[in-house]
Amino acid sequence: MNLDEYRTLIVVATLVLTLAAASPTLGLILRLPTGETFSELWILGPDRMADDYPFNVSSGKTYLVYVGVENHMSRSSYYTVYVKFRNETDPLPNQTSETPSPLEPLFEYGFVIRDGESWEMPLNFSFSNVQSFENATLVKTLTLNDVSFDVEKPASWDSSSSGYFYQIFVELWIYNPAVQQMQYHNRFVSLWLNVTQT
Amino acid sequence: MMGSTASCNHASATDAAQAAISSASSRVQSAYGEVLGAEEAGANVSTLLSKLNACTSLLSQAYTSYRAGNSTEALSLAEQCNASLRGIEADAESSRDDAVSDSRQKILASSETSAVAIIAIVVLSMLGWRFFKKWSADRFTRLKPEGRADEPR
Repeated sequence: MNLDEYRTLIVVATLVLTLAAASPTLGLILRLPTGETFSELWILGPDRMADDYPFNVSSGKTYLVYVGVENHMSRSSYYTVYVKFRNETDPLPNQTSETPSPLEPLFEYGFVIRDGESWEMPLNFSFSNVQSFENATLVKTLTLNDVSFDVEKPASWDSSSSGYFYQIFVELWIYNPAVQQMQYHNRFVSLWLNVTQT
Repeated sequence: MMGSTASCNHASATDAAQAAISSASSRVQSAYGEVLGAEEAGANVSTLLSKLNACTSLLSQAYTSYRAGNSTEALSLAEQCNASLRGIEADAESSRDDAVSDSRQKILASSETSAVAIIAIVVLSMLGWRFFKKWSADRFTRLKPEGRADEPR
């Protein structure tokens, strides 16, 4: 190696050491971009497993599922989980247009969780005042976690699947500090139920 | 007459519940914004988050009761939420200010250490380079072949 090459080597080594000496300060000042941010939403069965979900449900009996959310938004997030109830003809949220179902929510959970943490709560539900007609059924009252709602929701006989089908579904909303309002987070999960009078 | 009074009372309870829920909702959102600011500044917000969660839970219960048609309970829950929110925003603001101050101190201390280290590295490199150049020149001189006795002059 000639003298010029030695000089280049020393200059490079000096620059590397300078950067290493400055890195603790740079680490405090610079904000590195975070990775992909997202949230998880789930429903679990009565044993907190993805199994044994209620399906054939009768009037007067109480059923249990668990609703859970996990935060991967790189900061503490304020969520609202809306519980809604529909029959086969009522609209679901639209994942393409990222819009929630226009149905009014019945029950809701509001909570703040830190990044990387999860939240899980039981959702008890029961149907009462269920009336059967020739080819239809009418659910008058739905009780969610001991709060009763007058739903008056009819369902026609589904001959292809043999049942009177309803759906309890939960939508995940998140508070957006930039616009200062809750926004639909384009996530929902649902539970199909065949509701019978007995 | 009595029916009209009962209906009027129900309407006023509904309006009061709606106003209390709306106020609680705005305050919860504002408190969340303050807590988020404190968290981003590097403050430990565990206690604030657990207080805020108590409020968000009351607010959700208030909304649910309101939807179920129980305005009196909704009003009571919204008022509890409003009462629980007292102090959260101020605590969050104070935590954020403390965190910002701590962060500035840390940056200052770190900058001083880094500056001293960088000056030392540059000075040592320059001295090292000069020493190496001199040592290299001396070695080159020593290695130079000396003139032979029978070399023509």
